[in-house]
Amino acid sequence: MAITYTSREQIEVYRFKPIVAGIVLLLAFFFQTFVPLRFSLFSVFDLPLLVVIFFAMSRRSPVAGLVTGACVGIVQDALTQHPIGLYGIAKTVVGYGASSLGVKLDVESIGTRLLVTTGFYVIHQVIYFSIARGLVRLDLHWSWSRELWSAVANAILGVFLFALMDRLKERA
Amino acid sequence: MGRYRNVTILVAAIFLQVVGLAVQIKRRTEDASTRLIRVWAVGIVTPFERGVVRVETSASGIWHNYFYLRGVRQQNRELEQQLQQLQLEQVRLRQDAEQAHRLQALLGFKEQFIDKTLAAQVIASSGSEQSRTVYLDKGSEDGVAQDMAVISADGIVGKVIQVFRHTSEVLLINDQASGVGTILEQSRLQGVLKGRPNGEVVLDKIMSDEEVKLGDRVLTSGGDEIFPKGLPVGKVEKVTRGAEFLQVTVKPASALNHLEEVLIIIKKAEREPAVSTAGTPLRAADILAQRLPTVPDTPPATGTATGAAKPLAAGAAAGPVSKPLTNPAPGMRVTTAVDKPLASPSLSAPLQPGNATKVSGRVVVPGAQPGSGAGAANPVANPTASSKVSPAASTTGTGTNTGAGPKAPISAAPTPSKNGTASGVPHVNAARGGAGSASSPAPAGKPGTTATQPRAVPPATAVPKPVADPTHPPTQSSGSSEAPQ
Repeated sequence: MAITYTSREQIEVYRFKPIVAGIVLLLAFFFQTFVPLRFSLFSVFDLPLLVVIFFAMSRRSPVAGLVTGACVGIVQDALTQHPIGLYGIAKTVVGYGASSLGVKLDVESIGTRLLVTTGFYVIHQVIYFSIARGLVRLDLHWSWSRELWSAVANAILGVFLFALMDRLKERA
Repeated sequence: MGRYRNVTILVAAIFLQVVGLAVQIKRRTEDASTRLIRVWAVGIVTPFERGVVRVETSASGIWHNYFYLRGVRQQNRELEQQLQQLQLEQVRLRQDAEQAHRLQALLGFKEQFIDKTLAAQVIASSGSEQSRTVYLDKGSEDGVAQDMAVISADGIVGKVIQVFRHTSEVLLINDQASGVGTILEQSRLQGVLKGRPNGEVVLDKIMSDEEVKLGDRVLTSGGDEIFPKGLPVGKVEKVTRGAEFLQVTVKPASALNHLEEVLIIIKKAEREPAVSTAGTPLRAADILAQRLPTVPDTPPATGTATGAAKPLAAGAAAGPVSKPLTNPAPGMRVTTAVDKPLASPSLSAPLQPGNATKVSGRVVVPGAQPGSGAGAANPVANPTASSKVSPAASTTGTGTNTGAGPKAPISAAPTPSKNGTASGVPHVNAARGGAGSASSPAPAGKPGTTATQPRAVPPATAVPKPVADPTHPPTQSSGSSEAPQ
C-alpha cells in the first residue's frame, strides 16, 4: 500500500460486492430521476456523481474509479436527450481524480469529504459545461453562484450518504 | 489483484467494445431509430419507477377513494351547481361554435382536431437540470410514436422524442431544444415558443415594434404540425423590448415541474368544418323557408290587447334570458330558456328547433296560445309570413305555460301547406313541473283560418340546442309578445 499524507501509516483499501454496487447505483439513478418529479429542488443534487466519488475514494484504484465514472456517466447521458458522452467524460475524470486523491488523503473524515465533494462537483460541472459548449454547441446557462451553492448542497448530502454507504464497505 | 489483472483487462476491453457498439448501433423502430445504449439505460432504470408509481397510485387511490372522503358531499353539491352553470355555458358556446363552423365552411377552411388521445403517467425525469425531459409509462406497444404532442388538462406539455417499448421520452416545452408554433390570443401575433437554459419559456421572433399585453393568452398556432391549433400554452408574464425582437416571457399553463398525468395525442385528423345538424332534421318547410324572400322586421304593434303577447320577447323577462329571441321564424320549435339563447333568426332563416326564450319564468312560444290566463288568443294572420312559412300563433303575455322552468320545452313545428306555403302547425311541448301548462295552444298560422288544435308532443331534451342566425341581430322587446304583422 502506498504511503500517504494521512495520519495512518497505511491506507485501507475497500471493495464492494458487485451486487451491492449495482443496487447502490440503481438506487442513485432511481432517486435522481424520480424524486425531482415530486420535489423539483432535488434536481440540484447529482446522486450518481456522489456515488462515483464514494466508490472511487474507497477503492483507491484509478482504473476502477475511471471505469465506474465512465459507466455511470454514460448511463446518465442515456437518460437525457443530449449526446452520449457529456456526463461520461466528466464523471470519468472525476472518478479518476477522486481515486487518485483517495490514495493521498484521509477521506474518512467529514471535513475532507465536504471539501473533496465540493471541489469535484465544481470540476464535474466545469468539464460538463466546457464539453457541452465547446464540442456539442449546447447553449447552457452557467452561473457561478448557483454552481457553488449546488456544490455545497451536494457536499452536505454527500457526507450523510457516504456515512450510510460506509456500512457497505468490505476490506480488500 | 494481480491474479485477476488479465481477466480485468479482458473484461474492460470487451466492455469498451460493447459500449462502443451500443453507441453506434441504432435500433430501428417503426418511426425512428434509438441508440441501443439508450434502450438499455431506460430498460434498466424505468421498471423500478413504473413499479413505484403503480404502488403509489394504488395506495393513493385506496386512501382517497375509500377512506379520505371528508368534504366529498359538499364538493359534490358544488360540482353539481358548477355542472349546471357549465351546461348553460355549453349551450352558449355551442351556438358560437356552430356559427364559427358555418363561417369556416363558407370560407372553405380546414380544421385540425384531436381525434384520439392516450392517457399516460409521468414516471421519471431525466435527472439533469440541463435536460428537461420526462418519461411516460406508455411506449410503442401502446401506439406512441415520435413527434406526438403531449398535453395536460391545463395546456401543452411537450412532444415525444424517443419511443421505447413500454416507455417514451418527452421533451418539455421549457427545454431549450424545444420549439412550438404559437399565437397570441388577442393580438394574433405569431411566434416560436422556446425554452431557455434557466427553464424559462420565451416567445421568440416577434418584432419589437409590436404590442404585446401582459396576461395575454398564448395558444398553439398549429404551424409546427405537432400541436393542433388552439391549445393553451400559457400567459404572457413579462415583455422585454430588444433591438429587433421582443423577448416575451411566458408562464406555461401546465405545471411542468409537477407533471403526473398527461395525454398523448396519438391521432390527429383534418376535416372541413361542417355545421352540426344533429337534432335539426331538415324539413320541407325549412327548405322552403330558405328559398322564399325574407319578411322585413316590423316594429312591435302598439295597442294590443291586454295580455296579448309578441311571439318571443324577453326584454323585461326575468330569469336567465339575456339576449332574447325576437321575430323568430314562424313555426319555430321552442324548447327552453337559456342564458343567452338566440340571436334572432330571421324569417328567411332555416327553421330549426331549439330556439327558446323565457318570459318571467315562462317559456313563450311563437304560435302558442294560452288557454288559461288573461291573454286573448291572437291567431296570427300574417300573409307575408305565411307566404313562405306559416306563422305561428301568438302567445299571450300571461297564462302561457306558466311555471315552465327553463327546461320546459315547447315546440311549434311548421308543416308545408297545400298551396306550396308552409303552414305552421305548432307542436306544443307542454311545460312540466310548473304551476301551469300549455293548454289550448296556438292556432295554425294559416291566415284567415281558425286556430288549429296543435298536437302535443313530449317535452324535448333538457338541454336545448339553440340556433343562431348572424344575419339578424337580437332586438329588445317588452314582456309581451306578438305575432309579426
